Amino acid sequence: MLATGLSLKPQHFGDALACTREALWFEVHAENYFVAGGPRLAGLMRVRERHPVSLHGVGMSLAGDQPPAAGHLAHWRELIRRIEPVLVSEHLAWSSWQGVCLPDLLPVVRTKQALQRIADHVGQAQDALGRALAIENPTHYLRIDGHEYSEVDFLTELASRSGCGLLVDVNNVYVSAVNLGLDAGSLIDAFPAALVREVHLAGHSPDPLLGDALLIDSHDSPVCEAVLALHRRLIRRIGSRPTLIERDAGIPPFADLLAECERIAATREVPA
Amino acid sequence: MNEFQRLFVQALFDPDAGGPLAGQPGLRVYRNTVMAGCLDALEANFPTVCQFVGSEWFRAAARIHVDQHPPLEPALMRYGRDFPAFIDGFAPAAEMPCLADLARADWMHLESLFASDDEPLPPSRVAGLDPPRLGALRLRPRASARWGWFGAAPIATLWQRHRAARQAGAETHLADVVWRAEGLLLVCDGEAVHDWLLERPAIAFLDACAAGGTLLDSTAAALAVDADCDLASLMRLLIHCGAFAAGDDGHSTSTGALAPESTQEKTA
Repeated sequence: MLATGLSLKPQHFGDALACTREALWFEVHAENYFVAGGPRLAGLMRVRERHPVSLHGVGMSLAGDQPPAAGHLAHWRELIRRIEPVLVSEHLAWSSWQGVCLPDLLPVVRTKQALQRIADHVGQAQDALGRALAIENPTHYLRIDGHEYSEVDFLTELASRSGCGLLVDVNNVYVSAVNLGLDAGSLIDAFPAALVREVHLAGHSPDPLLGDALLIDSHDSPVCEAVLALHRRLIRRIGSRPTLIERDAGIPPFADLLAECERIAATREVPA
Repeated sequence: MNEFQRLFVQALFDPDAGGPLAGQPGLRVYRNTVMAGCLDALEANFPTVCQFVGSEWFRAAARIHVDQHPPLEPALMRYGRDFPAFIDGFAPAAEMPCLADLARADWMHLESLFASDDEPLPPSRVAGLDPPRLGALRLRPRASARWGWFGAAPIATLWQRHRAARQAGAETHLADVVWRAEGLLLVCDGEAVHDWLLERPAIAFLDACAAGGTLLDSTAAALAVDADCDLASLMRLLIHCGAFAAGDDGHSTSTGALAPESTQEKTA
């Protein structure tokens, strides 16, 4: 079983290779490695020889107006062949519209019609990749009318129709709860244990204009105590899961990331 | 679902658009993230341009480019193919005529960095051949080899100076740069992209090789732009740079392909 893992950036390849911490694993954004060759891919492949690596996608646009692009899935397939990832994940979101890419994880109106379309897209992606996906709950910033399902009910039904698993992003649950005025504890308690393949933790930041009334999923700071408490609550209920600490901006030295990883692993591994 | 997405995209690009989400501050978060993702990608892919004009100027120009040419694939490390041509036509850049070519050099670097890996041609492979066999040889540029002739400005020198300064975290010194035409060759050896300043005949030679020409064709192309060029030094330099691939490219003829030496012996 994978323990606590870290987002991996190319500037930390050397440190990752040298690191001997047991059960450490790494996750990268798959799209950053959609290349024919060169030092970045070679670096990841060297790390892969020493540690398990998970591939996390941000560009499949599974809730998009069109099926996942064939060229995009071909890049995925090739990267999976090269890296043999331990986990493969994507988001309940869309990021392209009529062929134009909108590099963000845009929100879904959770209707029956959307559910069927997204289940079809997940099925197409899984068939092309030859792997089951773990689908992540995105961060919410908007109150949207017209939902026919709660997010967890929608994800559960998506898993039942497509065979995918779930990736619970605890920070996204926390940030969304604050932004939409929901109870984070009830949200986290709703995820069905049997479907959860992976957990994400990350830092967030207050909106520069609205402060703590609008939190931004910025991945630029250590995981805060409120999110860690929510994580402990989840793990107490569902048991241990591969847990990733994401850091995509304001990236500190590798030693600092590893220290945070060990701190969280230590609390996580203590039985409640 | 499509209607929601259509309205959402409209609201994303037009802050004054109405619709069901109008007025929610959360829209601004998406708007900022989408634009920041595109701008960060362009800044990462065109670091020399950014260094030359400064981040503020760069992002203001890049924002206009994003509106005109939004990304069409999610892998943003390949976003910006049209950016050099955009700069060509961007009026505020007119007083910096080298800017579009610096962007072309940055793009060459990006393509070199992500090209497939192959082995360089070992010098010994060519050294032992006698002139008739040499003439029929087809040298194939490496997958990561990118080169260009910049007739209007010393782009190779400017690009190299900026890059070196960036890596050293130092100021770029340009006072002694001689304003002349230059060629630039970039090759990735698997660890990093290396750069060389080339003269016109070497660029013509590489162009002819890439077009599938024999060594006879390539030397003729080099001599056509400079009848006095030193062909032996030119080839030594290009082989030293690792510009040529060791393997057979599959479309060369049996007599001309740079096949293993034993094959060369048989077919000669």
